[in-house]
Amino acid sequence: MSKRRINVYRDLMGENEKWAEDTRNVVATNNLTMLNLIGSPGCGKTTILEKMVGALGARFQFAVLEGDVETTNDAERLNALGIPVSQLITSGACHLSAKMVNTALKDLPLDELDIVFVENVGNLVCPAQFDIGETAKIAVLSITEGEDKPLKYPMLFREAKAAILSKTDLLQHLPFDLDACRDYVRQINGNIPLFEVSASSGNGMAAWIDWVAGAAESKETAAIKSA
Amino acid sequence: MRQVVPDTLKFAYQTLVGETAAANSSLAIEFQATEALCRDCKWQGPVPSHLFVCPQCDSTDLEITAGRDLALISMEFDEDE
Repeated sequence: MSKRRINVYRDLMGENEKWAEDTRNVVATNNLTMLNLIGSPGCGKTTILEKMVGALGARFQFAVLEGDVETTNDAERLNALGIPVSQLITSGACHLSAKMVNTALKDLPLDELDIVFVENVGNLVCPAQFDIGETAKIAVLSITEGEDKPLKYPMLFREAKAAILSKTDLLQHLPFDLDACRDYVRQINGNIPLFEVSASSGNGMAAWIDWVAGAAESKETAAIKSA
Repeated sequence: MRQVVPDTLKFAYQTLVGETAAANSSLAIEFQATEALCRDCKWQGPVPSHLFVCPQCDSTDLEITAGRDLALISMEFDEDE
């Protein structure tokens, strides 16, 4: 008997990557901007989307792919505001895979849309690892989670092209170190903007909406990707 | 940077090979450190704790150069002469 070695070098995320690549083609062909919102359960992803309807809806047509482990609650909230929304129920999976998103995306009226938001399953870990062919991942962190979360979940903040710090109206009630949080985000990813928003009061929402509008207007999404 | 848990990956491997011809095989995991290149001063090296701050010039404009891969590199087995 002799030992034999076969070099394989196969990307274990390769199958996911194929679907992501197809999605990138669909996004490019239809001149879309696809933003993947990732954050903890309850950090305010759905509320932020709800509050964007007025200001963003006046300028762009957008739809939402809503990822949840169970229930259609979030999709119903958005649908009630007249936003086209498709619910993706993962039945246990902690993230959306490229294939799920690809299938749902193709069911949307793509020629009528400018922006597609993907609201990922509430989770700071796995969604950061899965390329779904999006234009940009957006990290969403709320005040109630504590200022150290960028350090604890660095991959998400490293992969993101922008970050949102939500529920800033609660700053006056909680011992949250805002300067430290800003610094942690900068240390993980010094190139991304951090939008400090309160969806309920509306504070800071204009800057975030302007960034989204800018991303949708500059069809040079490559600029965002390489940032 | 792939957030793979080595024990979990080995457990999954053993479960998969189960009672197949590969049942007595084992999975060897090679770890790749996260490395980055500073776009400002061109420093390049390992990034501890995923803090992307250049140790030479304090810039946060760092590009990841290694540590993103998750791949099957090779297979080794005994072969009859």
